[in-house]
Amino acid sequence: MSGWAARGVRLAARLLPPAVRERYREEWLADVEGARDAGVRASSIVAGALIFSATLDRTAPEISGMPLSVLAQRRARWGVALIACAAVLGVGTWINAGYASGVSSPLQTVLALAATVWQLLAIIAAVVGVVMLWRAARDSGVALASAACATGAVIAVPLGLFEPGLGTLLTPLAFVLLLASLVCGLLAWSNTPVTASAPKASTASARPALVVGFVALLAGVAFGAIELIVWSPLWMAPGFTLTEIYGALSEGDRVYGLVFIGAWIVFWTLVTLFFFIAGLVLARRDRLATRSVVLLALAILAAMVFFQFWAGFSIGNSISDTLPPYRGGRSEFGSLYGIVGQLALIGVIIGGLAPRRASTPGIVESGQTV
Amino acid sequence: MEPLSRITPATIDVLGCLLAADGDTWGLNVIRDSGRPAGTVYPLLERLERGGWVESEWDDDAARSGPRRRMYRLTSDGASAARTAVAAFRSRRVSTETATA
Repeated sequence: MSGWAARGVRLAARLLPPAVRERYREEWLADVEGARDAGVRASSIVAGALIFSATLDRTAPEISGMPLSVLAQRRARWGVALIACAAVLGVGTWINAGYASGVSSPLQTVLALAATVWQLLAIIAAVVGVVMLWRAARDSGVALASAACATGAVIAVPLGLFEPGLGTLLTPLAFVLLLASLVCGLLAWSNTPVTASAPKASTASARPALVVGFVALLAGVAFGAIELIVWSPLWMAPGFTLTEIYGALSEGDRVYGLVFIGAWIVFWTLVTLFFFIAGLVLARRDRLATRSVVLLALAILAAMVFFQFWAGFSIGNSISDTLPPYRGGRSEFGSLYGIVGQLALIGVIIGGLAPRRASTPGIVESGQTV
Repeated sequence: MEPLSRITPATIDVLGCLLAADGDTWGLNVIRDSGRPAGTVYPLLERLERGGWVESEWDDDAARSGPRRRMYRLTSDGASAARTAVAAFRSRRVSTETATA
């Protein structure tokens, strides 16, 4: 058997759904082995296997290894997850004004590149998400509503961007449609009576994940605090020292702004400590799943970053009203921090909403393994 | 058994090979005997099997080592439907050739 041909059919088999992968892998390997004696070129077998993998109807229950309703549910979940990711990427980039800080630096170049990549990814995720919802919609009326709303939102957003006159009408409409799509998509998911069997929750790496999550969250609080107190003021009032900046503010503005920042630091430090202590207690009882730890840490990080932006709003307004060049925005480190928050939220969405890989070939139907 | 949504000349060639085999035949032999590329025969066999026209199982030749061969055969319903389809296709072709001659 020629090695390259065997590798070719193995690759083709790997592209197949798990339910039929082993069957065709062995069948094609036997065909490659006997091709020369049968007067058939091995390359024809490899090409045939690849064509088969590419054109196979994966919706058939015999092929997918799961009932159509489960397949529709999984597609609805992917659709909802991808559209939510597109919203996070698009809205996050918009809120952060494309991560533009108005200064020229290597970090700013990276941020500008990230903004472009994020927008492209948002478009791809939105389109793929809509396609997934439409495919799910063939088997579910609620998913159909979700797909229709998502399509409307995906059409309204670019129209609003390219036609500023329509933006005031279309942007809120896109948000409403997006929300409706997500709600309908979640309903389609929860209405489906059967679910593919999910892998058993692993607790093996929960403790290391807890420690890593704890350290990452503490680092998140520290980075966010420094950004609010040091980097952001220095960026908003270039040429001034921190003492000059804080000295220039009225006592009311200074105290009010710092109280907001202090509250943010205290609150998220307490949340981080609670995450760690509660995790330790659950780990001692062997009830801590690695996946839950990771998702919870990412969710906390995403929320922490989101509220950090608002915690600095008061002091930022005061500085931009008092000192030249009287500009708003945030430092490039703040933009970097915002990107970390977006990525964390995307991790939560993918990890929490997207379907997990079903263990094969078992399918749980109405609570029973078949 | 499900009717096929479309029956192409390649489908007829594959059905003809399976009818001629009159029992179990290796998938590779169908590729060789039909003269069709594997990229046509593999998807056809899968469609026929999913539609209940064909069934398949592993070759039980214990003397052979290595990966097992997949043997295909027409089901009883599939065999009669295949004969009908092949005959209908050939008579259609004959009448077309007569009309164009």
